[in-house]
Amino acid sequence: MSAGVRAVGVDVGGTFTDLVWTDGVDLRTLKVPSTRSQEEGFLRGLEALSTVGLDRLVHGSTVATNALLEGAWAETALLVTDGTRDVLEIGRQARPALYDLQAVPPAPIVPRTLRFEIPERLDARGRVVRPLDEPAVRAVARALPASVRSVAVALLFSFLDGHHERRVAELLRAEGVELPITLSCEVLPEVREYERTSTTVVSAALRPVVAGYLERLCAGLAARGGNCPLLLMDSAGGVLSPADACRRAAGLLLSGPAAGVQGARTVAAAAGISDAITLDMGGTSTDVGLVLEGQAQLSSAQLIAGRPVRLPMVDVHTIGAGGGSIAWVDAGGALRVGPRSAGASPGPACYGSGGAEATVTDAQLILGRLPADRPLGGLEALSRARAERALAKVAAQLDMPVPATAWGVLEIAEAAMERAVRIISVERGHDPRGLALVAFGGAGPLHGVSLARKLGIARVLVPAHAGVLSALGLTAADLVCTFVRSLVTSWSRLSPKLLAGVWDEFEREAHARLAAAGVAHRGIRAQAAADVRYQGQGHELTVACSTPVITHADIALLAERFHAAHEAAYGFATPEAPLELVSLRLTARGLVAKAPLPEAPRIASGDLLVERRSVHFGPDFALETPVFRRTALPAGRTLEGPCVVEGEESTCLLPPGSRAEVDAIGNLLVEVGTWTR
Amino acid sequence: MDPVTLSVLGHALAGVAEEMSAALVRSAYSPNIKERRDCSCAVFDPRGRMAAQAEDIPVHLGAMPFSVAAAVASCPDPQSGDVIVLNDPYHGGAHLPDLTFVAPVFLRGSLLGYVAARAHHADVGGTTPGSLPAGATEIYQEGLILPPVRLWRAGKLDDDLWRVLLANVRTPLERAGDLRAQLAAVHVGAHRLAGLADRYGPGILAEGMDALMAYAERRMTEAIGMLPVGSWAFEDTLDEGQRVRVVITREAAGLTIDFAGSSPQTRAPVNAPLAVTASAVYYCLRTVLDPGVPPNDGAWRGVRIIAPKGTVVNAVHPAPVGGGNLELSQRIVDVVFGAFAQAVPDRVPAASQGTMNNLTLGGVRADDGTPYSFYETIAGGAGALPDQDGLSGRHSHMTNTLNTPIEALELAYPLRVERYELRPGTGGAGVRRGGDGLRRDIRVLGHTATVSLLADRRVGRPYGLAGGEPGSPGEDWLMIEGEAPRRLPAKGTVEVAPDGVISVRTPGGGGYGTPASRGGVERAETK
Repeated sequence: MSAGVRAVGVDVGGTFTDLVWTDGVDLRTLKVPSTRSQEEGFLRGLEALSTVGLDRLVHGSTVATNALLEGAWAETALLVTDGTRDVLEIGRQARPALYDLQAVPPAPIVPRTLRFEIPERLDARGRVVRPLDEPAVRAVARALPASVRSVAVALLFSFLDGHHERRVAELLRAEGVELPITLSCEVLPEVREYERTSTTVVSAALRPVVAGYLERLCAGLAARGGNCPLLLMDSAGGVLSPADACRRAAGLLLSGPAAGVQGARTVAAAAGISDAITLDMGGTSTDVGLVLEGQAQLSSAQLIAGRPVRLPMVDVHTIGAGGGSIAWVDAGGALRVGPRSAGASPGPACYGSGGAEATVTDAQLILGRLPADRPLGGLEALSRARAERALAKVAAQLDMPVPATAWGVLEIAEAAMERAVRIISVERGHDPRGLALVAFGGAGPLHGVSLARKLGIARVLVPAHAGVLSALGLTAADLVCTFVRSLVTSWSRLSPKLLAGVWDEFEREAHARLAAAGVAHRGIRAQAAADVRYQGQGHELTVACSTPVITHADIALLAERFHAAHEAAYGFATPEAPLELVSLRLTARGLVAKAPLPEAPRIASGDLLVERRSVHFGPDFALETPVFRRTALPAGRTLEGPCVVEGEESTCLLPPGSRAEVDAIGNLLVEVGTWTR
Repeated sequence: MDPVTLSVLGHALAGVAEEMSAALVRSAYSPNIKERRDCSCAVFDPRGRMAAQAEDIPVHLGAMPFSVAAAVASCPDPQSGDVIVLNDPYHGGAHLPDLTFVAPVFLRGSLLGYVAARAHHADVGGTTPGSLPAGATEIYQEGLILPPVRLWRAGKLDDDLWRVLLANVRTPLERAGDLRAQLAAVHVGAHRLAGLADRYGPGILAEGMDALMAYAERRMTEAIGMLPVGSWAFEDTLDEGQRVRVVITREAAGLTIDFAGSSPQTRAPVNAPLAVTASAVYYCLRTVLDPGVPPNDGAWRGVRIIAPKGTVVNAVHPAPVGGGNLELSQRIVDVVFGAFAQAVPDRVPAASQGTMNNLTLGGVRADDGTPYSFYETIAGGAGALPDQDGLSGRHSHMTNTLNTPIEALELAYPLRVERYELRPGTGGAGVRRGGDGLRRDIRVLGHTATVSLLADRRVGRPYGLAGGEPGSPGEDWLMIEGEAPRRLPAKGTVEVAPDGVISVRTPGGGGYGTPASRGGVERAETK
């Protein structure tokens, strides 16, 4: 870390493009409307921040995600092993919903007519049982329609030996194919053909889209005279050069959520918190992530827009509940909240932009948690009358008073969020009670403390810049490259020679890529891990290793760690059962100079108290509650609930029984406490 | 109960069942549970009435309450820490591979209810690997039978019973792992249910369970009320001629589903115990009437199922039932949908493939002499809906388990998958086309394998609706180099010599609406 590094983070979201500029002393934030061509809003925002002499420019982009969601990918051809043409379409043979017969899986990105079978075959040990039919590959090259803009190759067992796939690429080039060619053995050398093929196809189909966008963006940056290199945040929370981003375009799919978790991780670390659930609650949805031992947790088992993309990504789970979730009464007379949302347009009824249905935000307004009828941050005044009208309709159906209905809407929204957070925790083998909660996004700080109490969580952190935390996270990210290689080898067959070969290859490649991005050798930190299972088990556990496993002693230590991890995750271990090494993994981190987070003022500035108003803390119970201005809170100041803290981009509620302290960088650290009326 | 508490408790109880499923899948040992998620979890009130169930697989939907009823009856003095295990289809089970754990839950000495976790085990003994012998004539050939018995008493494992259980299965290590995963699931469920009672009070929790059932009853009553008053009959058969007949009658009082006229039970493993028949009926009701009704005891109060004892839809001891769960359950769905199609034609699809194409391969590896057993189900075509084509190459109705990846299969077993593809044109023609079936060819490497097939719709065809054509039937072939391909029976066991290839080709779904070639409307989209 070094002061004086000037960094800008640009996070492009669906509604707003958020920018953060920091040099470690000052911090400036800006929100501009996002544009259809993302680079326009990006460049306009950068212009407005009037940045000179930048050292780092890091970008979180939804360009890959949007292309996948909207089907705006490049036409792609796929070459596969003879007999497996339909693997991409059959998937794992399950229908997408059990009881909804109309639900359909996403159509395959490559239609059947562009899926070509190549006679060739490796067996499960990587031995050639049918040689590659080279004339057949040449024939495919000649048969490719002119409209195709990208080619993917995914052959069976190429994760064991990629020479057939590489030869296919050579033959296509020899036949004059000049399109980008994406090989499954390079994108994801991992067992399970459908997931590997899907990941490869997604990457191939997005490659021209991402390349085109980055070309336009870089040209725009060059035109305004900047010479600061652009970096992109990938789905795993590291940053990539534009060239690497194009090669693995699917790696950008969770760029935005990764930035959010990185931001949460950074502010939590500054507050001395290393284990936390991150809760990014916006208008239509809430992203829940996990930080353990100071690292954003990754997963490579995610579906994006219904398609498996098995690259390491921040383990973010999206819940369909947010400030815009709509309250309604169903056929059985139960009050329900969501999954329909008023979103940003028309938005909650109180926005006065045409929304007439009651939302979570309307309930917050009615209960006094948000200010009525005066401007708040960048928003127009929220109309209490409109919120009342919308909620009164729901209240009438239930024959309940309006405030009790509003209270119920929040209770139900939080019950849905509690349910989702618990399942996410159980699936990952963690008890939420041992973690802190980092609550951010426009709506997160309103629900954070209440939700924490329901989950048995003792501490909540509300970051100083809760509304632009993702952009802040961008300024603090390291360069990261990740590697994986499936071996699927029984323990007795492991040899130091075999293992050393894989690690050497990983390390050579990591150093070459990080050096190309300007990282010095001594700035590189590598973390090795291995996927291990009991032979015959259908799934594996990823076990971290302090150093790459090579010697027989290393192998024995890894076995011990695996048994311990199995015991911890599943409650039992079987030390006498034979083991199998499924994959080796390496994450190489290139440490970059970062600006420290600027400190909060030490003395109060401006009026602390905005007003006192009546805030509900029960269906029929309200307290006169002070409302404080977030920007006027000095470091070290303590607050007792009940109170409301109004920030620029978000509002935080401290219910009775909770207590908060402003830390050195302006975070609110909340002890949730208990309270009964 | 006020609508807010009702909704909050609805989330909480469904959450308990979901967390149990998450714990079971997470800690399971075998691919069948871990990857294919062939399992279910549910929460019950102190009277054994189901209060919530996770969205797992439909064939377990109506069957869990039978398990809890049998467990409660066999263990009238439950203690904290007891876990009852069962699989006997004539005492609360469905078919033998489905082992169900039932645990009573207490808070400070008073009974709050029960939690149950069911999982399909890859082997429970019997005459063939995988415990689904196509030639079974009595249940005794299908594996180890467990009436409801306490495997844990007050938290202590009955080691004798544990050893008996593991001595009767082909893969004891894997079974032990999966049984522990089921234990983990009931522990999570018990802990969370007790936590809810602590948070809201046992009285509110009990009241909440009642209110949730009443709520589901209101929703289902509302949905049944949308049906016209009337009576509709339909029948269809398995390939060997066993008939399932249904008459659905909607009166002011509710809905009656009457299976009178179905074939007597048979000495082949296609009989269904009542639990399976109930699951199939509930699946149809949820799908056609209201997928949002929470699956609990209240949902089915307005529905009367009449299934005469000793028939294929309510078999009695000792009829074999291995495929009742798998094959007959699909035919029950076909006839119930066929009847509903007459009442609400705009909501019901044409027949889907109507089978699960159960395939088991077992033998001894040539290289190291170790035995193996591999089981899978194969998807096919779904029936067309009035306004959309049927899905191709996907599971339909009573199952939705994942396939085994080719690479995972070949890494684990001495087999090679040479073809895995759609069968274009096997879906029935129509204004909306039925989905296409699949073809999966597997070569046996270097050893002689015992191959069991339990499938249907090889003779009969999945029906079309409103003039749509039926889907093509399935076919099964044995291909040996230098010999003419041999057609195999869809229910049977065959020895396959080294290098032989078994080719399973699954049925297409039925079409909807008279196809263009017969004067109907041209389809809106083409594939």
